[in-house]
Amino acid sequence: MSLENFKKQILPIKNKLYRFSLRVVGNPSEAEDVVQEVLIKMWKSRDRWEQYHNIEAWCMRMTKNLSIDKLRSKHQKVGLLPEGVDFIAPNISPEKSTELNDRVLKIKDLINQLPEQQKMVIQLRDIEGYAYKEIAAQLDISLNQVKVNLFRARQSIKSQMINIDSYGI
Amino acid sequence: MEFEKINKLLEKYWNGETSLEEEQVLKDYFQQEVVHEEHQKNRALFQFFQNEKNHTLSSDFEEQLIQQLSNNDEKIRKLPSRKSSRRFFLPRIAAAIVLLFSMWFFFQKPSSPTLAEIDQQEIEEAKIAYKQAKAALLLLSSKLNEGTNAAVSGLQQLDKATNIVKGKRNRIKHH
Repeated sequence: MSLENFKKQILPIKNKLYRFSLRVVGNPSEAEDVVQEVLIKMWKSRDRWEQYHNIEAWCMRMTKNLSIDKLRSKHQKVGLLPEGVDFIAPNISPEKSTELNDRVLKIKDLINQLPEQQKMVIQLRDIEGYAYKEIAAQLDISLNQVKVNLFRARQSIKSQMINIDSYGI
Repeated sequence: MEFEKINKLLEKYWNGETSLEEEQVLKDYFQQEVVHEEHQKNRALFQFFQNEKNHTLSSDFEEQLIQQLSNNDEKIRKLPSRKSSRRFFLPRIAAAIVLLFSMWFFFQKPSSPTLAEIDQQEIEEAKIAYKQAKAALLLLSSKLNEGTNAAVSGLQQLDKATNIVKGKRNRIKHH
């Protein structure tokens, strides 16, 4: 297996791995460390790639495990993303965009407070757009567990969003 | 009507019943400039999803990674080379030679008591050289993989001892 193959097959997913790790660990530099570790491990075990029909799922699973380990070793319960990494929607007027931005930050908070598995499913479904079957393989859980987690996460978001609105932002 | 369509999709969305295509419809809808009043409250959520896709690794990440992988590979390649093997075994060979020499000296028969012209001082020097060689050997055997310096100095000490004793023996022979 050459470096060229590695670049073609594995490297294209690096940002998805990064965002996923970031969702779990909540810290950009730690997420980068995780991704680096995953990619190095993938390179070292390149003679085994053919055994796996879904390399992407294999990478995600490794990312998940390493991210959780990293999180646990730091005794963190919830990883919160740093403030200020926001992108204002280009189609909205300035006055409305501030209001929207505040809401977006609150959404970010409430999603980061979700139970770990629900958080991961939201990340892989609503942000990365993976199918249920793919998510099941990536998280090493059943299809049913994916659906249940997604349902619970969305219901939780919906009810908490009402709180955001009712406090008159 | 789009308003109704979106309402229905939102309902399905909260129940976790939307397909990926339907979710994309919702995402596209909320990217629009104008969104129905009723749907405004959901805008932040879909904006959040959109924003999150923009997080990426630093631009030099890939370059640094490739560099690390190449370095890794070099280390792996170096181990089985012949040059390394030779360096590895040389101290062991030297140690064996030193050991043989010191054993040979140790088991030499004492010279005849009638050889009065034996220089006591030279014998003492030879003994010291031998002790130093022995010490060097012990040092060597505990540090087998660390280059050949210990073996070399041990050998040098032994050479000295050998020459001194050889010289004396020659003198003894001629007498």
